[in-house]
Amino acid sequence: MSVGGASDTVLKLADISVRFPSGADWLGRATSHVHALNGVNLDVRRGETLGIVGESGCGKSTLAQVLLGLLQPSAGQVTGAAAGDESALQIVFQDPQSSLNSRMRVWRVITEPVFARQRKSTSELRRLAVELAAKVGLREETLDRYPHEFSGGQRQRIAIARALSSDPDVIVLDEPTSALDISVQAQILNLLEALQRDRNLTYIFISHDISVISHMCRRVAVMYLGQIVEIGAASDLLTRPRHPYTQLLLGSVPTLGEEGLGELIEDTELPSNRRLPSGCFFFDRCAFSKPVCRQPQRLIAGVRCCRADELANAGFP
Amino acid sequence: MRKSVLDIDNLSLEFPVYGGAVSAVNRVSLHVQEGEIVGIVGESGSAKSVTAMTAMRLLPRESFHIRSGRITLLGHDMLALDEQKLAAMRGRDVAMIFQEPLTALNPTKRVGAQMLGVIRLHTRLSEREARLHAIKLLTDMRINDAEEILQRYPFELSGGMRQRILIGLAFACSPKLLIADEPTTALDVTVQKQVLQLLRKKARELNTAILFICHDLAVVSQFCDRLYVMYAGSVVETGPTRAVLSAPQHPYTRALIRALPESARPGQALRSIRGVVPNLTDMPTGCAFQERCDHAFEACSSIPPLFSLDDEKRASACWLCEKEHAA
Amino acid sequence: MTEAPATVKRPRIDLGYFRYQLKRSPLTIVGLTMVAFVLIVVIFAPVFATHEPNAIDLRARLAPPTLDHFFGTDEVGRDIYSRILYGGRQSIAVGFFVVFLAGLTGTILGALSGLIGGRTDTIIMRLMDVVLSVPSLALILALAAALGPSLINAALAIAIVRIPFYVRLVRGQALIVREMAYVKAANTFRAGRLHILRWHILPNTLSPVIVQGTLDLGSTILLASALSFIGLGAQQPTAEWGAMVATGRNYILDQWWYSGFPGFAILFTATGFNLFGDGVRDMLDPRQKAR
Repeated sequence: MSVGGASDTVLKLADISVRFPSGADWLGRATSHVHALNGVNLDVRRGETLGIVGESGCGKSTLAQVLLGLLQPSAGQVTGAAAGDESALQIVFQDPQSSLNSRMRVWRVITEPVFARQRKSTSELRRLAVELAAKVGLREETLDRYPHEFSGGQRQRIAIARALSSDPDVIVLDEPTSALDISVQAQILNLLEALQRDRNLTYIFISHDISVISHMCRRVAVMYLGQIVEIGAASDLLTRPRHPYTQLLLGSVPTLGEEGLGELIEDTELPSNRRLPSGCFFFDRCAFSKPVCRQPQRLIAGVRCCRADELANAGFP
Repeated sequence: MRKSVLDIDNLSLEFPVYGGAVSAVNRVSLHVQEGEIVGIVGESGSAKSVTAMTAMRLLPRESFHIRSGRITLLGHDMLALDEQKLAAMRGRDVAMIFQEPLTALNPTKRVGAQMLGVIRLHTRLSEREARLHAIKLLTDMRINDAEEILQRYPFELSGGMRQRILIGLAFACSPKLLIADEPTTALDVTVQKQVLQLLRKKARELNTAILFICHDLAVVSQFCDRLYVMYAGSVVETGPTRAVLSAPQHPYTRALIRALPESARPGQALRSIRGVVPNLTDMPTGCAFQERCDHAFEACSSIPPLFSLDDEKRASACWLCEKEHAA
Repeated sequence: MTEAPATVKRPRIDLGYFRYQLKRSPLTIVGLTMVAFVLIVVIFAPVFATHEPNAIDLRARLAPPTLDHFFGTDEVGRDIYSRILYGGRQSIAVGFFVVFLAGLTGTILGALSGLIGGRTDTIIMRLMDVVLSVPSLALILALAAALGPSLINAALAIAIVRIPFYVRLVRGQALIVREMAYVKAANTFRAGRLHILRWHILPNTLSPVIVQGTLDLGSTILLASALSFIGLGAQQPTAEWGAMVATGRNYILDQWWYSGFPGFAILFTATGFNLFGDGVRDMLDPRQKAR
């Protein structure tokens, strides 16, 4: 694994904000905005697996779309070696059911990124398909079938093969194993790791599953309400969370063998992303909030919490 | 000895399809006692949902064929019960909650109207009493502004809120059994934890038994008293949750736990289970797991019954366990 | 592992599965049999016909059904049985022509509308609304009157009226497909619109269009017959079911066979296509096979 220095950044997000208009007055002007991303700064380094964790509505899917260049940010810039180069970026979606066209034969599906952009002879495409199928562990004789004839795990292999076909540098993995069974998940995760080693791929691994993130990623970013609230090395962040939200999140993850569910969580409702809070976004749900938290929070040393050090020293009283 | 709520004995069920039949459920026996929280874990195709749906007779009539077995729910023979009695039981003695709370609510009616409708269908409460009852149910589910929530439409609420409403409603008539089919799978972890906490608290209060269907071993390990592990339509192992998960006996259960990402160190390859689930239209004779099992031997080609391992309801459907135990 | 096996192909249609589906819905078999019967009889009309369809025999005017004339004769002694066989060619040809024309035009317009969206979509859909808002029979009458009464013009008129149904169907399907993850994936590798149209939208709209077309065949045949009935379709002496019913109407009290048999032919064919169409709908979705 070649984790380069800060210079080896494949993608760099600088102060990215995305807001969608919502509602309209009689002139068709938006009456309010949904704030999906609120100032995201992120460096993606070549060859790494960067985990992005968060619950629904935290903006991780929007972030994926910005990374892939499918969505123009309302503010901020995406730069880096892979930015704007469509063959350098690929995606694997969560649901292998809807991410493969059931009317295309598998070899067509796999080579679609290639023949969509340039004319290639059928035999060339087939050769590529055979090669990729072998890489992801699909049998060659299945290439003429249709996706619906495959199990979920095999369909995800097909999706991975498709992502590989344009020989990308970066693959965004959007919950790639969330729809799969545990035994199949293990196969797919192993496959992803092997492919990364072979091809020096960079993964951006989006998931809500902490155990999968912790297994796959060296670096993790935690998102809440369109912001990164904590970012750092997986080994530190997942064992010693510094942001109260990270702590709540990790504390809620069920673990095998532990009995009981602990103290009752009282408030689980997210604040609206139409009218953003002025201070800390986590203020209302935070067990440690103080009046000082009413000021806007900045990401300092990987944590977006002005009381992070104070709380860490006190061991989260 | 506690009273039995649900008894499924030796149930086998198949779905006729083109060119044969899918043997979805094979000789499944499952028991739930009063006030007990029982989990069914399994991967897709293990028939965990089908088993529960059959217990409530929720499958379309012509779509399946029962080969053997009986189902007794609160003393009624569920396979013979007439529709009228069945309808009366559903919602009152037995309640259900599902994975996607949005589909269980009518999008065109306010939450209040829907809750009151259900409550008054099964009880003799007046409009006002029913309303108070609904508010109490919601408050118990940690919904603070219950009055206001009753005025809202389902789509205005978050997934977690909707699921809490449905759980509250499920408990409206203090049912004897609650069947929960992946109730937290669509929810975020923080919400999932809260929902599980509330679900368990309320069930204990009312002495309601829960049959909890889930694919997530970790969730089951925290939530259930006892569990059944299912594979390809059969129960492969059962026992108290802690005992089964800390010292699994059946090779499948062991392999499943080993395949979890938390069972490996980061960077280390995960131990997946080789092969695939057997084709349910063409099941091997004998143990369903034999082709993927590292320990398979001659005996595995004949069907393993559930071998009792110790006195406390622990059992495993594996010839190997039987051999080791006898030795 | 480098050579591509270009010859290994699985058969496109699984005959066994087809048979299984048919067995599950007996009405489809009934429909299929009816359609097949009509098509065979009509295509091989010269073989089955006992007389020339336009041969006049004034000695045998308005004769009741006999062994010589199975369905009797008309007012100039032409054999009704033979005329029904030949007349079916007109009606069924109109049916296929209309469905093909409307289906093709509708698919193209609908796909463009759904794929491009924006102003193109608005223009196409408003145009379709205009077509839809005029009562179809009135529009057909106007068109047929303007273009002159002939079967071809009637067919054109019916086709135009039918186009909006296909446009709406295909546009709806295109909008669904556009939101599928595989199209989002195609967007990440910057596939062009034509690519998305060719590989994603069209293949996924084909089945619903075929189903709609099969169902439409029945009603188009009815409509074409109706136009001929009021004199805007086939002209004398061409044999056509609707036209035959129309002339036969004058004799309905005494010579029931004159309009009775062609009428039954229309009913039989339309019913056949409708039953068959319903069955096709259940069969054409490959995703149902997985179940």
